[in-house]
Amino acid sequence: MTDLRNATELPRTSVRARLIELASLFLKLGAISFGGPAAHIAMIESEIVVKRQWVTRQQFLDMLGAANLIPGPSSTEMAINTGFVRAGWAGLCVAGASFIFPAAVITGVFAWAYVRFGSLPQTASVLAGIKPAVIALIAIAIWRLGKTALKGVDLVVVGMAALAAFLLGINPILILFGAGLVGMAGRQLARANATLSIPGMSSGRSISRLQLLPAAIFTTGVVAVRPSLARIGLFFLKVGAVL
Amino acid sequence: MQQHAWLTRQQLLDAIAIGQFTPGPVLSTATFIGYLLGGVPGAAVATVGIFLPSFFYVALLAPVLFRLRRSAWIEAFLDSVNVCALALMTGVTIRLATDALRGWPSSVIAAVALVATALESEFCLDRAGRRNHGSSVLRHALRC
Repeated sequence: MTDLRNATELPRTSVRARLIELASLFLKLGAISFGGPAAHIAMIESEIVVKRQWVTRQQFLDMLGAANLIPGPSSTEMAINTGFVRAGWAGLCVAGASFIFPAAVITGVFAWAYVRFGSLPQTASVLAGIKPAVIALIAIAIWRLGKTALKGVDLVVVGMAALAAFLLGINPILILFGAGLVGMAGRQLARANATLSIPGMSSGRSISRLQLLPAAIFTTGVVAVRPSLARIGLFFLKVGAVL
Repeated sequence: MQQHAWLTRQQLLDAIAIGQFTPGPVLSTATFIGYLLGGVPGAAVATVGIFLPSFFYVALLAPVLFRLRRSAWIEAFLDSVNVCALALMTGVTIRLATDALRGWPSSVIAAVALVATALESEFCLDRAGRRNHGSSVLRHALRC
């Protein structure tokens, strides 16, 4: 199913075939992916996890996490990473370049027109129709990925906290690293608890985690619906923590 | 950009707008600005410059990425980060939705697209390790 043999082990013709495959896929994606990085990622997922099964969903998630952690445009990095997985260093370059190329050319054409005619074409209304469809596309991809990513209640809580933090305007990099550290700490706590468990009390931790869930849902709901209210709450939280 | 005073404010705004509604990475704005500053060579150099670091970062990380899972610590870290990445995607989509879904035409488009994509996802596409369940009538209707 998933052919993750090291690219150097493949016969030359096979590598070349893969490179052509990569180029045509990412040229196509680079040309049609309107809607921002989230849309690109949704489309890439649909292609390489679902349709072509080049990577498993879990591997895709790992690639996505990595792409978010390292600086630079995440969707392009996903393309580059896919190229590497599929065909080694050559694939890395080919896939990335293929993804960037159409956008660069189209933008170049617009730039030429801009210099020539002095203003932008009025294409805004056309794009307005695409946005709602793009939202649906991204939502479905998140749904699919979420099924694999949300491995337990604690991760659900982390996810909701991250969403709330993002909507409040906290720096995404901070959220990512913070979540990672929390995840590691949580794992360590769980293992410590396991060794200390008293018969009859072993379910204590899972109960408290489940109790966190309604609180998390409530908080996320508040933040999503009334951000100004949440900011007030956050302000007083900070004050309360410092005083 | 403001430091170097290479562009007027209007030009910069236009460049960003172009990046938004062209397909592909948003940073193709760099191509636009590069062209404004130095014609085709300028565009080429700007594009290469802005994207090249990404290649290096991925080149560093990709070879070891899938093997990182072997460490329990890193696994916990990665799981959280992945969930977080999805949360960020969700946040972006929420922002996009509150901005774009005003009035019934756009909401109808979104709803129809949602149903169509979901159906396609569940009945046609997801062969990744799952039995392709669902009625064949529906699949025939969706022609997949």
